Amino acid sequence: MRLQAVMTAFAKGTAMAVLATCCLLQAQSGNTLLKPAEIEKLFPATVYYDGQSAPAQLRNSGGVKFSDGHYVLASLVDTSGYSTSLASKYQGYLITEVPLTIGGKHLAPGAYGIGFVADDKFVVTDLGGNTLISQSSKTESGLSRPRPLQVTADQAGGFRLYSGRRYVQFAR
Amino acid sequence: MGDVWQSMTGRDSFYVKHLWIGRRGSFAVALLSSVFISVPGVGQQAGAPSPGATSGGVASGVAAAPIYDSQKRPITAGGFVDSGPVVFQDVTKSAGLSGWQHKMGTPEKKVIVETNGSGVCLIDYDNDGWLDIYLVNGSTFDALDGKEPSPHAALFHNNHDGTFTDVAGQAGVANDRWGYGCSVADYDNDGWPDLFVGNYGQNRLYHNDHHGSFTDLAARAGVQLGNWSTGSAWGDFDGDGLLDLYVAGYVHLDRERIPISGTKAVNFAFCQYRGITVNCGPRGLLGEPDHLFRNNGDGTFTDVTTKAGVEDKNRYYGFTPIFLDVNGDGKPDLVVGNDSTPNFLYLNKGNGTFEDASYASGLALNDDGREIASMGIAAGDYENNGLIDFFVTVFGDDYKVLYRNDGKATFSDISYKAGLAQLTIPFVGWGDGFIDYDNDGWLDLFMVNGHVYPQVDQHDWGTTFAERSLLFRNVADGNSKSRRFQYVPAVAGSGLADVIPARGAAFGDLFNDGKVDVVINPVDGPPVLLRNVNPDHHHWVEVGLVGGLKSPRDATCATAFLTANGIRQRQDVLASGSYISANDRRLHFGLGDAVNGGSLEIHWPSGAKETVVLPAVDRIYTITEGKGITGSLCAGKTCDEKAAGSARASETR
Repeated sequence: MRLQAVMTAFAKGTAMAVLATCCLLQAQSGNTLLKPAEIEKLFPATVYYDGQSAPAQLRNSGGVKFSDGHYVLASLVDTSGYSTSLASKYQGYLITEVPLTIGGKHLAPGAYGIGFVADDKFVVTDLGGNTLISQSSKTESGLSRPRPLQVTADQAGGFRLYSGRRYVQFAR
Repeated sequence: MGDVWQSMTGRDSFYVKHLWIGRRGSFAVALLSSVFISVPGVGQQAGAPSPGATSGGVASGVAAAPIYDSQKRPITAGGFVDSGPVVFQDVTKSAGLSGWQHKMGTPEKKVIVETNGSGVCLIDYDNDGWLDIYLVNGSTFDALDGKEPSPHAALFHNNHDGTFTDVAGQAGVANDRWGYGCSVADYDNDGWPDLFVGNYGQNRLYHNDHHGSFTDLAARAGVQLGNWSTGSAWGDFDGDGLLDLYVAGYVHLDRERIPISGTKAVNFAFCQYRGITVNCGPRGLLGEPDHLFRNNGDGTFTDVTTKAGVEDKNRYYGFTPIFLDVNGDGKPDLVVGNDSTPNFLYLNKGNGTFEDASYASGLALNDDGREIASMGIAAGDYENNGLIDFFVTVFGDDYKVLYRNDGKATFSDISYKAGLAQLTIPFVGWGDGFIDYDNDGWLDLFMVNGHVYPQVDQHDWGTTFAERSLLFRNVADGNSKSRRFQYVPAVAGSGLADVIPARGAAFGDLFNDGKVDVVINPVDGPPVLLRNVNPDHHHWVEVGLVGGLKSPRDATCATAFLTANGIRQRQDVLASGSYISANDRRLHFGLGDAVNGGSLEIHWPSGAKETVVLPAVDRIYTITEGKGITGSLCAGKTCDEKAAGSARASETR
């Protein structure tokens, strides 16, 4: 029982340390992770994609404010108005003011559709629904309390865009 | 998965009693000839949903592969066995309930307000010791416009002989508005249960006038609201001895901007489910906010939503709220099931405000981190560890979620481990309850089902508008202390084989025989009364609680722990639950073969704690705060103590 308590305390301490390290790294680099409440001030309430506009699910959003003031923002979207095939790959909206690399692939500044799809793939599409990037996603099985969408700092550098326990890494 | 379903369906044969076809709204009872076929396997298995996927405007997983029984019926409307224990018997007709019809919009269900269905409340409105049934009705746009008569709610008075009589008209509770949910509580502490009805339109607060009739005092009380209310809950959150009211809001529906696919009202979006056009929402539509009303004690209420810290800023699509003590501190907390948006858990801080623990507790989302389409909430301590757990029904193509209480208001989604996930994926779940159907002292699970899109009957998707119910038995998980749930096969011709577009459901002992029965309020049809006829001979006790001067008189949110037969069970007095419904307020404890009534530890809303020894089994006790047992019923009548004493002596010899 005592051992369990020690292990629990150790695990909590480790988690706190990891979190602190991530925050420290971000603070050092001058980049700031954004919460939904902050993104609500920046992100459009409805977004255009493939001939329709749909509400952004800003409660499920995340992003980064870089040290030079530029942003990358992501939010899930209510895609009920889209065909099943399109909705399967268009789950969210990504706005980036700066060039990004996603899994080693280049993405120019702009607005895009994003989705975590079958076969552990992550896709980025243009606003016409054409696939620009199809990249393998990873799964963090041990992630506690996953969220529909969130952005976190990656200890190895850059950031992670999560949908549940699945994620892709991206960097500027 | 295939093996699991084979064990469900693979006994001997299959048989369909009813086939309720929602298409065009006709209630077609197609009594098929008794087709007995030897059992092959089942069709394809459904895959587990993946994060982020949605169907239509409702949160769900990816489209699951269809599962069929040997007669090529979707598993949602088939998969019956022709022999085995009959647990529930459909007694709707003999009980006199079949003459009443629920109606909600047109059969095509072009608008979301037409398809969600209504709740059902069990209420002993005349205090005769027998549960009566209140069935909320819907309405139509034509009725709202005066072009056709409004559908009426029903109040079925219990005649004590297995039959019921609709007295809604003379009791003044016909509603005649577009009704959704209901809840039962004695908000003015006069000793008589009152009734709240949430409507699309203005709500009703039916005050019990003690003479078999009610008066709607919602306007005077200030709780009418006016757009689309669904479920409601009662609890004394500020500890003043008066029950306060929480009302969930769903969608803000504007008659001038009805959300039809492809119209301006939905930004010209096309609302689709698996590629076909269906009614829009709830996602994409403006939500209707929830409200918390503080009881002023003079028949009026004050909206304290913001002040209390439970403001529904994002206007989530609320269905079922329940006040109950989640973290064991003696104060009623508030859980709210939201459709396709995160659920709420508000922890009562004891100073008139709440802390939002929705995400931190793990109740907001499922284990995949996905929002779920919460419809019904069953609350109960299925592990007998003193902690309240929740089972939440959701949309099809998604597993229904069992949230195990890990203590300190944190929860784990253990649906797969508990055996509740895979089997429930094809079904669209609604009303649900933790009930001990076999009185073995462990809470089992019952859920009712039915799709929201009638169009599904026109496609080969392995699902149906009308669906059957599911019953799961609580069993030990191997040699460990944990529990899991085992599917109880639906025997052809029994109540579990009824195929209906179910929505609301309420659970309670309607016949005062110690067995928990089920009343279902399907959309666009008659109600269904399933009488519990499980062939066990286990003992039981039931307890009605009466609060003292510092507690609400009906003891809402009291918690009681019965120690008997080697286990300690927990039950709570709740004013709401299931899908926007209200169950039997009396506490029910199964005792197995025990002949000792056990010891009941009651945690009253006032904070007082009291322990009462129950002298005999198979009785319905009334316990009054500070006074002990103040009444008991045997077989629905006042107990004959002399006879009961002889019986006990005889049993112990």
